Amino acid sequence: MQEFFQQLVNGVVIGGVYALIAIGVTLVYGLTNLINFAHGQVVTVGGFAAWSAVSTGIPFALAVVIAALVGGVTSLAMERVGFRFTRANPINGFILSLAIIFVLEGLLVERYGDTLHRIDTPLNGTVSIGDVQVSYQRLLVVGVAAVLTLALMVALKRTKVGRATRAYAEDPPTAALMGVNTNGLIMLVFLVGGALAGAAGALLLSLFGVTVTLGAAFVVKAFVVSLIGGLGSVEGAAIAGLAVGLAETFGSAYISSSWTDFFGYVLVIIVLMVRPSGLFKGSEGAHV
Amino acid sequence: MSDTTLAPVRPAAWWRPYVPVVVVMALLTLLPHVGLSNRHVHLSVVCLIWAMAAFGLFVPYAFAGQMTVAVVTAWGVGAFSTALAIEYWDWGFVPNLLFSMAAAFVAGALMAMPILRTKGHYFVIITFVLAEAVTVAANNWEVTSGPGGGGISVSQPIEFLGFSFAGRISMYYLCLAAVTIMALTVVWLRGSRLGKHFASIRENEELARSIGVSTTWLKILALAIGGIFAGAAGTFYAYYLSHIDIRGFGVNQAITLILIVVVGGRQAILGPLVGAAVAYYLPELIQLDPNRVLIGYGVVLGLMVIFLPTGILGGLDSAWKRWQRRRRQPQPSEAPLLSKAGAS
Repeated sequence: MQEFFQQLVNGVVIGGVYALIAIGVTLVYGLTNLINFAHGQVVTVGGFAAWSAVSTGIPFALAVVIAALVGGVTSLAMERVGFRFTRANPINGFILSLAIIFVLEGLLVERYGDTLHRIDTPLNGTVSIGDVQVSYQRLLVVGVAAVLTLALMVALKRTKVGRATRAYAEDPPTAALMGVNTNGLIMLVFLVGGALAGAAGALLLSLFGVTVTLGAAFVVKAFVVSLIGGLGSVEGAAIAGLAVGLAETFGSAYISSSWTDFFGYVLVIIVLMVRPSGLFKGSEGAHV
Repeated sequence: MSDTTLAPVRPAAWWRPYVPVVVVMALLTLLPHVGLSNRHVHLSVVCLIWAMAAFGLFVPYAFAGQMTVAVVTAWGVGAFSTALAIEYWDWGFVPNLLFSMAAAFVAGALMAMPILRTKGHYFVIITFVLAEAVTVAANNWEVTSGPGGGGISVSQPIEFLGFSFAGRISMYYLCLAAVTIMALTVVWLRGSRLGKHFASIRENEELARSIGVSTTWLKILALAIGGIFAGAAGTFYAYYLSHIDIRGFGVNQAITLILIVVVGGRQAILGPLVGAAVAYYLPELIQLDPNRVLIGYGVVLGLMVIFLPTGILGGLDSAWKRWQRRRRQPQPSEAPLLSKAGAS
């Protein structure tokens, strides 16, 4: 039983990070129908930004903020330089995102090489709940992920900008007619999604360290999560993130650890066989 | 995007679309005789094999409008079925080729199955997930991961028609023949009834379905036919490189295939050939280190998508048409308005 709860905690930790990355993917899709695989590179950029910050002596808490800023700016830059021009044809945007993966990954290799970069664990010590040991660091990761996700959900529900975002995702022309600044909204969504991904990169740095291929591994998971949750649905991404995290940790603990990635992939295929547009009401699959 | 061109007065001769393919391939037979070094002949063979695999993406994408990342998996299935058939059953080239084409057809069809329920963007992402899932599975299966996870070796040359294709130049001609057959097949397929069905899906899926085209199964068929091409490419790849590894059939290779098709020209039959040459020859000519090549690929692909979405051959084609139109109508009375409407 102790093993079970230990894995439960691990699953929630990794699931929280998945949710954080998936939210950017799903928000951007909801507004622009863009499948942005370069979102994973934003995670990597955030991770390396945090590493650079920590290695110059900046405390980790501030490094997370820096990573979020750098991630947000990177994501916004992608939109301004690239995705702005492919809005009419999202499949071109998809191809463009693949191109951006190559560029960013190459630039990061030029700058940082392809070795694993780690930092010392910012928070030492563990807390015991019954027999289960949880490190403060992991609690911090879950806490940051949960706070950011919930804050975003509340902002989407309650604020004026949030309502505008939901309206635009529902029906772009009508939202534009109601006076929503659509261009600014899309930029904002890229900025916020990128910031969450950058923060996720910093959190991943504290857990596992970063390599240049970190984001590539996580973005596929983020899409798995978004598909299960329903593309465009933030609540769906949060819940599906936890589901995938748990499926992976329990699968690797009780079945086989070399198949870890496989469990999430199987989960998404099964879910989509049963509910083709995800568990929560996501956008309908558009014509490519 | 609908282009309102007038119907031609008389139908073009049936052989017309085949001419460019035959001419280009005939010119390419001269390539080994212009004093290329061994290294360049080797690169040409690799280009040809990549072009074959790119046809595997070209058929579903250009014809039926189905973008897939999993074409790289069909390619891998072809390569591995050849390598395994040699290792375990010691098959010759022809049965190997047929076997890997069949295996890749089945793999392509199976990987297209999610299209039964999902559509559009969901499907593209699912192909990405499938490609990753197959990589994980193949890495964990000792038959495909090879001894120590280092891949499988293929230690024999192609023996075909009583001739051993061990040398680079002989391999060049064999691959050129294969690419020619593929390109001719693709031309034929485009003009065939099936090709027109595919085009109806690409242009307007709802409309096609409303007049009784069973779009779902046709999409699966398009992806499976793409698998045949990719599978054949896999056989040549396994024989020529004599060592294959799961890591050679990952998402990076899938992106390169997409780059090849987009850069060459999404609707141009010789596009995969041009794209492969750009992707493999150009970096070699300007002698960059692999990482810079990666950045270069990304920049080229990105610029291409934004500024020339129809690719090199598509751009040349529209430039040629514009020039011809200008030549036919020298007086600019109402011409600017008309040509603008036609070009958009």
